[in-house]
Amino acid sequence: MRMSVLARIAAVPIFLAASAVVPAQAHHSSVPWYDLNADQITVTGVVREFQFINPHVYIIIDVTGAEGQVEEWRLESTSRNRMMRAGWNEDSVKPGQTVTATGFPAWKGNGVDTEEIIVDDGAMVWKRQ
Amino acid sequence: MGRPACIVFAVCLTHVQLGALANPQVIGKLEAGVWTSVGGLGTSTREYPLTESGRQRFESFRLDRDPSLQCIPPGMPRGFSPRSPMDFSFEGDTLTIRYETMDVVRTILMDGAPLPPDAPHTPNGHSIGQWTGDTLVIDTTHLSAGEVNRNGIPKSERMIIRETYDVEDRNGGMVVIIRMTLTDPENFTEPVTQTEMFEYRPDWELLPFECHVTEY
Repeated sequence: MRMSVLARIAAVPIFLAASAVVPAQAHHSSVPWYDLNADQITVTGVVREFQFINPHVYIIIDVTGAEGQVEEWRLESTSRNRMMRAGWNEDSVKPGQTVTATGFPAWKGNGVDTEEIIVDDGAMVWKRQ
Repeated sequence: MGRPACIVFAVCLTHVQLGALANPQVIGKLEAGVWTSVGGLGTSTREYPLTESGRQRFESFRLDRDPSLQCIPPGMPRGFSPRSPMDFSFEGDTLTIRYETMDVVRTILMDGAPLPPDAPHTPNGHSIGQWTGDTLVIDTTHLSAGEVNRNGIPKSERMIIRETYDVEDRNGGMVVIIRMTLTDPENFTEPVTQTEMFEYRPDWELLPFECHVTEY
């Protein structure tokens, strides 16, 4: 799936709006992982670091908010082995590239358990199976 | 053949019927190679019917207690829950299931022997397998307390896991349908069943996991 630049920009307020529902699950606030029952959110940012490791692959991105503030987000994916079989390797994502990820929000902090990752308008795409 | 021999023969036949119902063709299919998940079949659940004590355990779960962050295999049923690629090997009265995630090796006894009264509780528990027709049925008890998944859904030492494995031919390939029912009266108000489908991948091998300790 390809997204226009405009669409990616639009995705930022979408994730901000979606993340606002997290406090409604306050009785789970001590759980550090992800709210798999919440609506999925979409976040777009610039890659700071790519960790191609097991048990989970991580992409650290900088996301610029509506007021121009920059926040660090941690995108978590499946295992390195599973992504290797999907054609990914340690060079699939490089600092400075743009990544759009969709998935379940972390209970706290800026994190996403990703269901889909798109690098640079489709240079690399991963979808959870 | 004299009468005593007939009795012995009949007894032997009965023993064979009880202890070796396995269809060699089904075993051959399971042993063919690596199986990988192609997703749930609509009955998997992300909602667990927690008891009050289960809810309290869930809410007190902390990230730094998660063994997987330290690359320690968390045991069943979580060995299965990441939908890890797996393979099967039957040897004598033992079935070995290897899971790629965390390099877990699981032993299932197929000899029908009773559980020793002093069996310890361990992360993978004590698993006994049997055949019901062409369905492989595995019952697991004597699990150690821990978590069912990385979100902190708890499991107690009283948890019982029943798994069934059915090999089917679909769309020109082989799949195995795995149904797993978790019963844990300390943590769940009712049994929880997940159904997953794994497909045979003749082009795959299990890869070493080479886990990295995760810092948060």
